[in-house]
Order: sequence, then C-alpha cells, then structure tokens
Amino acid sequence: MALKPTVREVLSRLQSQGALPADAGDKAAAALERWHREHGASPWYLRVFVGVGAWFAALFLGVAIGMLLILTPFAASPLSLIPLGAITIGAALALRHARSGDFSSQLALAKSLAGQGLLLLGVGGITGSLLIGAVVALIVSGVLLFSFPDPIHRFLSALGACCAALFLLHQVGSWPAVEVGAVALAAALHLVFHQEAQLRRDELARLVTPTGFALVLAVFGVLLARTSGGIDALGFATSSLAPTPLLTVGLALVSLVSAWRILDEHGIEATSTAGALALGTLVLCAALTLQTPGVIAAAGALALAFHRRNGLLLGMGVVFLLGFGVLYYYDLALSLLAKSGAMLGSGVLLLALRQLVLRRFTADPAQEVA
Amino acid sequence: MNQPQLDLPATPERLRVLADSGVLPGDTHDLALVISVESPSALFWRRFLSIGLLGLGSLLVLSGVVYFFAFNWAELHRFGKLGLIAAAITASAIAAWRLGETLAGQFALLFAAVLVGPLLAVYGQAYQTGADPFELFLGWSALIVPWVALARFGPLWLLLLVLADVGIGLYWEQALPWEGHGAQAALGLTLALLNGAAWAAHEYFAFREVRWLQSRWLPRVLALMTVAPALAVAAWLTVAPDDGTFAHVACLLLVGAIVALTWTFHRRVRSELFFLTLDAFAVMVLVTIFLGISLFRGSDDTNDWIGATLMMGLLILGQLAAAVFWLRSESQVRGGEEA
Repeated sequence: MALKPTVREVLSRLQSQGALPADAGDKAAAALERWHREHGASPWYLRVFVGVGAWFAALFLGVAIGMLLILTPFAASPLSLIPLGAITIGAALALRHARSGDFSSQLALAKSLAGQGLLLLGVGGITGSLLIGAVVALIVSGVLLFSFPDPIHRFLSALGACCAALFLLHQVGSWPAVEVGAVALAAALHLVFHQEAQLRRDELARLVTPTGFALVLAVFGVLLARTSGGIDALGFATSSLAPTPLLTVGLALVSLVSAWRILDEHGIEATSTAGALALGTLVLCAALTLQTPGVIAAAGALALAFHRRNGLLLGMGVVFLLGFGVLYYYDLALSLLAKSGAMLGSGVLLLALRQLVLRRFTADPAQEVA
Repeated sequence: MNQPQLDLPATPERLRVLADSGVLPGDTHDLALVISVESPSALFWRRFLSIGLLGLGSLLVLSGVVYFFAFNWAELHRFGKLGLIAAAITASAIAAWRLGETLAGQFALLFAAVLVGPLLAVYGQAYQTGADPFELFLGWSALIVPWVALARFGPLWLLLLVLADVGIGLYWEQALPWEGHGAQAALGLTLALLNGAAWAAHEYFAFREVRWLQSRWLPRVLALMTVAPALAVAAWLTVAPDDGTFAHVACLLLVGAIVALTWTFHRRVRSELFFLTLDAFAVMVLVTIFLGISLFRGSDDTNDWIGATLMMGLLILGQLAAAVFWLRSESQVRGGEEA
C-alpha cells in the first residue's frame, strides 16, 4: 500500500475523466526526465542535512563577525549590529534571487541566518527588551517567509515566526496565553493540510510545505516544553500553567473538527455508525489522557497525515504519539502494578476496537480506488 | 532498481513541473493537485486503522505485562511467576502459529520474543544465579533466533540485533579487563562490523528478491546503526591521533569502505540517495573535526581565532555545497528518487 498516488495513477484518473489526451503519459515522462536531469532529487533527509549544515556554518560565521566587531571601534555599541545584520540579510536575499547553484544557495542561507542573528543581537543590545526583540523577529521572519525563495529557509522563517509569536503571548499573558496560542497553531496546522490542494493553486503554493511542518514542530514543541521535564528545564513553576485538561479539550476540539472534515470528504455523516465510532474514539482518547494533551494532538496529526497522504507527517505523528504515550503512563501517579493494569486495559481496548472496525467495516475490493 | 518517472509519488513539485511544461494546463493541474492529496479510500483507511490499532494495542499489552513483572510481586511464588510468563509466551507462540504469516501473527511472535527477556530476568532473580546482565541479553538473543528466522518480520530481526548489540556492549563493560580508549574503540568496531554484516545480508537477500525484504526502512536503520559507532570512533582518532589504536584506524577505514560500497551499490544495484547522504554526513563530520582541530590548535591570539572561526564557517559551507552537488549528480545518474 503506497501512501501517495503515483504520477501514473493521477494521470490515469485525469484521462478517465476526459481531462487529458491519451498521449499525456509519454509527454509527462519526458518532462519529468528532463527536469530530473537538470535538477536531481531533493528528498526530505537531504533538506534536513542541508538545513543543519547551514545552521552550523551560520553559527561560525556569526561568531566570527561578532568577534571581529568587538575588536573594532565601530562596534562600541550594539547599534552597529542592526545595519550590519540588515545588510547581510539583504545581500543574502540578492544572492539567492540571482543564483540558485548549490554553493550560492547554502552561502545565502547561512548569511541570512547570521544576519538575522546579528540584527536581533543589536535590537536586544539597544532596547534591552525581549518583547521588542520578539516583535522584530516576528516581522523579519514573516517578511523572509514570503521573500526568500528557499524551502529550508522558509521552514526556518515559519518556525521562527511561530516561536516569536508564542514568546510574545508569554510576555503578554504568561503560559495560559501560550497554550491558547498552541491550540490556535494546531488549528492552523490542520487548516493548512486540509486546504492543501486549494493553497497550492496560487502564489502561496511554495509556502504550504514549509509552513505546515513549522506549525507541527511549534505545536509539539510547546507540548514537550509543557511536560514536567520541560518545565523544570525552562525554569518555570507548574503553578504558572493553566489547568492541563483545558489544553487537552482545546486540542481535542481541533482534532474532532479535523476528523469531521475527513468524514465529510468521504460523505459520511457524523451521526452514522462510522462517524460516531471515529468521533467517539477521539473523545474517549482525550478523556482518558486529560493530563497529557500531546496524545490527542498526536492522534489528530496522525489521522490528518494519512488523510492527506503525507509520509513525513505520518512518521512524525507516530513518533510523537509513542513519545507522549510513554509520558502519559510515566506520569501516572500509580504503583507499577496499577500502571500495568492501565496499560493492559488500554491495550485490550484498542485490540477490541480493531476487531470492531474489521467486523463492522468489511473489506470490499470494489471500494478500492486507484 | 530504478523506477520509471511515472511510478514515483505525485508530489506537488512533480505536478508543478508537469504544469510548467504544459502537460497539465490550468484547471487540469488543479484537478491533479486535488487527486494527489485526496483522502485514501475506505479500504485503505480500514487497513491503516487495523495496523495502527494492532501496533498500539500490542505495544500497550506488552508494556503492561513487562510492568507487571517489574512490580516484582513478592507474594507470588517463583513457580507462579515463571509459569505466568511461560504461559504468556506459549499463548503468543500458539497465536502466531494459528494466525500464520499475517501481520497479527507476526506481532504475536514479536510479543513472545520480547517476553523471553522478562522470563530470564525472573529466573535469574528467583534462583539467584548470579548471572551478569550481559548474559541475560546474549541468552535472550540466542533463544529467539529460531523464531526470528521463521517469522520473516523486519522488526523482529531488529530486536535481535539490538539485543545482541546491548549484550556485547555490557560484556565489554563487565567481563573484559580491558579499559580505556582502546577498549571503547574495539567495542565500536565490533558493533559496526556486526550491524554492517546484518545490513549486507539484508541487501544481498533483497537483491535476490526475497519478498519480505523489499521495504527500505530496515536497511536504512541498519545503515545508521553501522555508521554511528564507526564514525564515533573514527572521529575520536581525528581529535587525538596520538592515542589511536588499531581499532581506531580500522573504524576510519571502515567508514571509507562503507562510502565506497554504498556508492557502488547506488550505481550498480539500486538508487539509494539516503545511503549517499549518510556517507556525505560522515565524511563531513570527519573532515570538519580534523580541520577544526588543526585550525584552532594553530591559533595563538584573537586575530587567529577570528580567522579560524571564519574559515570553519566557510569550510562547512563549501563541504555542504560539494555534498549537495555530488548527491544531486548521483540522483541524476540513476534517473530518479526512490519512493
């Protein structure tokens, strides 16, 4: 079972609808072969490799420029870092727009990251205000998300914008505001992937993937930070958090709306057996894991990933579901024996649910669509 | 094995290429986008839910059983403890036999294999055998070999390899009188060779078109498990070459051999850009550490430090660009990205 339909399958569907001529397959193969010879492949792990490498390079470049500035009279005040950072970002933008070769792309990426670092250091040094720094970071990230034509940079800009926005919320309303922000980001995540086909039709097409995955990391980053280990590491007091069930309810609502949209796309009523089973399972999952909001969030992301046939999001959903599942049972204030019972009970419940799904919804090959 | 371009996933990027070349004009491109992200059919959803619920449910039941015995229920007689685990293993094995080569059957056998560990632990505790932990892991892995061979199930093979790795690691720490960098390096080399042998065996039988070995996730995990220990040891050699032993040098040569062999595999057998990306990463780590040590060791004052830091940034960029250029060239040679 391949997750995503192949180019051949998509073309066959279009031909069966009369939207394409019979020789479209040959032309498509020739076009893809030509493009591949010119550009090569760029799978996700290659992009991660490039992104991480550019980060390291930017770190060294930024440190070198910083050390150089410290030694020069011009750098007597942080004021010098702002124009230097802006010029560096501008130069990186110009380079990236002018050239798309591998070295130029990496250099532009590293320069832009280094320039943003210098700019934020300058703003922080002058104002002494993290709030203003976060506002500047949000604006810069937002502008570069639209203007910098590189998918890795767009992802980093979107992630930077999410982090800046969450930080601003924390400054304004402490952790409860951050949690409201996390629910909003989760809703945005589901919206982006549900509307993926529509969004890819226009100028926003190239922003969809970077923004979608930045939202995933932002949401689960907040949920991880919210665990007992994360709170201790960040130096916050648990009393500053809103009651956890509220966050779980918020994320559950997002997952439920998303599930309802999936059912709607299949023409299944929410009140039908299948609809009630799907929505009821999500409600039960949220109810049983009220103290670990990551579980319902991950379950929702997993369903969304399969719905939109996104392998990378599916993998991330599995990892987060397993991770938060472990946290859930670890955090249970029960003896080992009681935890054992809880796990056995949950496991048997899931296996019983599987049997219900298999018996109630029999496999009909006629329903399988190419 | 190379795939024709049309049998690759219909990603938005490929559909954009077809739109730009005129194959998918205007509204047809929009339709294609909708089809490419359309929700899978009810049959696929059923299969997805079946696999997901089976995996999670089995994991929870297994964890519950392990926790039960971790509780170390003192009131239960040792025969009772051993009997319960043995009964669970027997029931799982029978379930695996009855369910056959279905996914449920394979998970049942995985369940039984995992329970062998707690059985040995309880046995050692009940009879105070004085066995070292490494004996438990090595014994565990030896006992499940017949099931692993029969199951033809990737996760079970991975479990066997992980148990063997842990057993060997514990043996090195607990049983051998050898200490220091040389011992650590020898351990790294041993693990790399063991995992590498497993990786090579997988690729050999996959090439021979053994059906259950056609998925690519397992060899990629095995590749990571092979390169990681070898790279860690080889990286140490670049930091402290004077402390290097035979094992350090062997690991460095092993990394080189892996690069050469995976490149040949990619060129002659099947497109595997993941392996080449791993190779590029390994070489970059070694080169960067070596050059970094050389640059910073030779820096005497602040200006030298600044120059060295700047050089490091540019060196990383240069290596990155070279790696990306090489990887894209290799993907073009083979004609397409694997699914």
